[in-house]
Amino acid sequence: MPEADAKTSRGMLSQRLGVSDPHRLSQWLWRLFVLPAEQRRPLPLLLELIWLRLRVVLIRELGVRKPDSPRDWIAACLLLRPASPDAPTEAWHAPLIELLQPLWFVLKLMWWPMQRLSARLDRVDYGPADRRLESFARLTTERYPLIGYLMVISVTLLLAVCATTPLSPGAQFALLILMWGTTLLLRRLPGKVPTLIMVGFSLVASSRYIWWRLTETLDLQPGAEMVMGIGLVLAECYTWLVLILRYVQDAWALKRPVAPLPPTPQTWPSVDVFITTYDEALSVIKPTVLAALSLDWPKDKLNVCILDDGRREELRRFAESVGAQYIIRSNNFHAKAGNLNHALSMTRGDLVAVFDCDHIPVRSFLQTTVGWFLRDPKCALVQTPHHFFSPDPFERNLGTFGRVPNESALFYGVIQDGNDLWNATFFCGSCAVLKRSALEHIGGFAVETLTEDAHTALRLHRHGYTSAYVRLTQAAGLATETLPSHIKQRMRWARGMAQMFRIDNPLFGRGLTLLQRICYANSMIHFFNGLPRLVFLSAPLGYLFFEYHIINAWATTIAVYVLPHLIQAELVGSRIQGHYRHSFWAEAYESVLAWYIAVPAMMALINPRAGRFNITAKGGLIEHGYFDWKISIPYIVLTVLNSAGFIVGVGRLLFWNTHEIGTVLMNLAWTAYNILMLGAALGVAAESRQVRVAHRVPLRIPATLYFDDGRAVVCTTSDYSTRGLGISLDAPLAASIEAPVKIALSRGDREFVFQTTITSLTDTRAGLRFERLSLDDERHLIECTFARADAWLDAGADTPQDRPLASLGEIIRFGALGYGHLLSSAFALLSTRLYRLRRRTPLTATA
Amino acid sequence: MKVIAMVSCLGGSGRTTLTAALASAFARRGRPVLALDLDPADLLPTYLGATAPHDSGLHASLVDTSGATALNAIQNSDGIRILSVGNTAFPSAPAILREHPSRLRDILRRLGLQDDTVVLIDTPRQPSVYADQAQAAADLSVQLWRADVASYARLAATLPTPDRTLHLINQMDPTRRLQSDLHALLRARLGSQLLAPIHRDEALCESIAANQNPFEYAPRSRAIMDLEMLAERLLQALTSTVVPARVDA
Ligand SMILES: Nc1ncnc2c1ncn2[C@@H]1O[C@H](COP(=O)(O)OP(=O)(O)O)[C@@H](O)[C@H]1O
Ligand SMILES: [Mg+2]
Repeated sequence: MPEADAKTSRGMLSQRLGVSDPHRLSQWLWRLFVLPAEQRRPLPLLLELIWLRLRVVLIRELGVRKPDSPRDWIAACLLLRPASPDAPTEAWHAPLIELLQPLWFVLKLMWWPMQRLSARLDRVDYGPADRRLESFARLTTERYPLIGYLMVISVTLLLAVCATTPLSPGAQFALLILMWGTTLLLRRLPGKVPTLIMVGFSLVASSRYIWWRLTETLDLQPGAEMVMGIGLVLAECYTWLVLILRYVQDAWALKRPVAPLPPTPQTWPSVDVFITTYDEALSVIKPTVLAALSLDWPKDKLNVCILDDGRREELRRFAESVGAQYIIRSNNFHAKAGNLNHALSMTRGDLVAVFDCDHIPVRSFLQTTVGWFLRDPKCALVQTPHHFFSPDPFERNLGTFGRVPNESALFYGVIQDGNDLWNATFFCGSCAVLKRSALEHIGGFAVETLTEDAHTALRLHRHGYTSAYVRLTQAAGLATETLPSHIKQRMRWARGMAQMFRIDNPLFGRGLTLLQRICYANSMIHFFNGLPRLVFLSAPLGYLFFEYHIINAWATTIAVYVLPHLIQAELVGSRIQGHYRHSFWAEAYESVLAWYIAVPAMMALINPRAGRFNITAKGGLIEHGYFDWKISIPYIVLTVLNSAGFIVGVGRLLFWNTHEIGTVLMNLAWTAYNILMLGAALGVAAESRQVRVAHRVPLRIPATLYFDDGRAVVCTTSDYSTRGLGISLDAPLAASIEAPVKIALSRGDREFVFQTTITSLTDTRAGLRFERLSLDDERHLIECTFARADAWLDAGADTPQDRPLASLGEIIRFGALGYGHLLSSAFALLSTRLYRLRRRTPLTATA
Repeated sequence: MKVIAMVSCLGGSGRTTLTAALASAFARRGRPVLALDLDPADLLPTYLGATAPHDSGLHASLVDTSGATALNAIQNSDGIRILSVGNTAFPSAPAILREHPSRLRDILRRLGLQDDTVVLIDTPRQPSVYADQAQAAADLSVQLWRADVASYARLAATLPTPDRTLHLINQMDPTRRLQSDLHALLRARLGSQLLAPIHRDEALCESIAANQNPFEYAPRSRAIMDLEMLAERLLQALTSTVVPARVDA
């Protein structure tokens, strides 16, 4: 009986390929839907045997480690081999290596003088040069502004000359090599001088490229080719503009120190702390309020207010029990801005500190920020970074939390600090202190746009107030939970910024300096990146499908112009932002958001009055890992198009366009890059499971366990949530599960003890659950954890520095994984559909 | 030679326990250690592992003004040498010692100990002539307290504290709210003279009962970690401010 045979051989197969890791959902799904016999039309035994052989060979040759995971197959096909200790060393390429040995030697010989040179450069002390530059910069800005203006003009002129000088492709190539080689040497040197030189190179390279594109490559055929060509060049102009503005904004971070307060607390200003909430759970709000109440500030000068637009009785009672002011209003006009304005009218402190209800301040927040108001009487705003202790959707779904700087790291690490140099730091809605008198002067928080924060800051700057950015993490909060909520938030920002661009454009109007205008404009223009990104994601398709030559130039010429443009910008980016944004991640982040912010930003630009205020969902729970099909549709469409384009392109390479191989190759490379970025975007859309109700925050502080029998054992906490603590142990603990134990945490010199129960125990870790926490206990717990002054000071310190190539490798890996997710989810979906169909057929037949 | 005296006006405050534990801590740091027991209760040798009573002649040489009495130390397996006054009574001792306040200091000088030797002295509860001798001989006295009302009251009465004295709270138990509050008060009172407390920890008593070196018996226990830090802090205090003044003298 062939069927029985097939069954037994399948049984063997399923045994041999048995799910190696039953915790992986994808494998589980695979096994669930693929292996059972009912799901498959039985193959003839012969075919089955052939397939089995083939599969075994493929597995061996490609080095697939887990043959039942589509992801591994894709990774294997892309030749991404995770190093496994038992992998046999391949002997086939050994002769090749031997062959390349002499070539390698020659290369090394050529590199030798370069190495000597760079070793020489390493020995130079660049400190004096840097200091001279600093003092010169101070001189020109403070004493002789005229010199500064003259320098700006002459640099612009020089740049214009450099950008517009025609060069033959050969000469342009030489320029490329020269700049690139110099940059590779320069980037190893510390200090601002090399940075400025690298910025100069990048400006020259990019401006040359844009000039060349505008003057020599737009000779297009009318029709679709023309439209696409112009579209592309506009998108490129946009990136060029953003690049230049970004350099102005970022090249020189201010790194403002903390202004110390006078030693007499009687002279310190009084502060109202506003905690805005709409519908967030009490468990989210509580830590913030408790932390705000224990801020280090004279108690008679600190007034904590809960601004509840949800008007909840539960919250009112809580506020009363802890001694916070509870403020509500009769309507919800103008959302958060309206809420804040109403609270302004109900309070009277000199300063106003604003926190979103899920941003927990550390105890030193006011001490580190308020000093600037005293030092600079015109100061109306002090902003601190937003730090997130939970992973955002990118970090969670790609598993990069703590390894790759997240999307906001760049903004708070570099951009705001750069803005600060030009007195253009803007308010970010939370973790900031504002001066009441200034707010009253401008008529309260701005209500006209969705981004009331930036708009308020713009108003303040227009009225001659100054701002300060203190780059010390003094508060931390929850990141957006899911991709849809993340996208929704970004859509709101994009819309709000576009509205501001229309209603209160920083480029025009009174009261701003040129550089303030530039900084604001750049922050707004940044949100128009959606459309250009979509153009880049689809541009090569015009050629691959229809043979439109939307850049009228030879591929090699394009290469010598575009490569320095891309490479120099990437190298500068890596130097200035390396710690806050890894190379190629900007593209990945933008690719995910492009589709969703392109439309709202444009719509708001056309009609700024349209738009609603969305609240971002926080504290959600994802019960099962799933693939968000709805959100990924744009990426899937783009992926399919790009993949089809790639296949067509291969055809062009081999059959149809063999006369312009260069062009085909260039477009293929571009498409491949797009496909990778889209893969990473798809990876983000695969939401991974999030089971914990309360967030586990990594937290390493010393603690002591006190047992009922009098023993006291030292340990270190590993993570914290409002429900319990995880601890790591150096030695096995003589205790049992469900045993009571007290844990002591310290705040300064003082220890606080909390009653807990052991919920899990291994030789190296234990889980504890808090028992019977009183309100006082909860307050102490917050004080010992989130609100410690040093809680987040080293946040991000251990994210590795950018290494561009490694970063590219990582994106490639995520791309592959994303496709793996897509395929396995598609397969699962298909199988369930099929399964249902089959079940239904006999039922209807009998009915 | 650096001399540390452990003194206290409270009974059962942990002088003997901490002397023994500190002796082990310094020995673990590779320092030659001499532990002196000036308490006629004669417990220190037991805490350090001695199983039989032993008369080392310290008491005799304290009373013997001629300075001819031989000293005869015992040594435990960690290399800690121990001299104790033993429990033989010398009724004349208090009077003689009161008359010669620096007897112990002279004896220690004559021993010709290595420069890096740490001498730890366990004392009877104050007031006591033995404790006075120890303090006169010491480069540094550690005054033991508990985080309780009695300590707080005593401390208020004895201020100002003598030079070369650091204060230490033993048997600190933060699970008692009152102790935490009193600790805060004592800290406010003593400032930088107050060392980080030694917590109450059963492991310390258990190790003595088991006749084991506490640092090996329960290396991750709270009191042991406190003692490690205390040992570091004392060495630092001995090398920084206190000692130069005495060398000049
Ligand atoms: N840190 C501590 N934790 C727990 N028990 C301690 C601690 N310090 C001392 N003890 C116990 O207190 C009791 C008195 O200690 P002891 O050293 O004999 O005091 P003293 O010498 O001051 O009279 C002993 O039983 C000792 O084990
Ligand atoms: Mg004793």
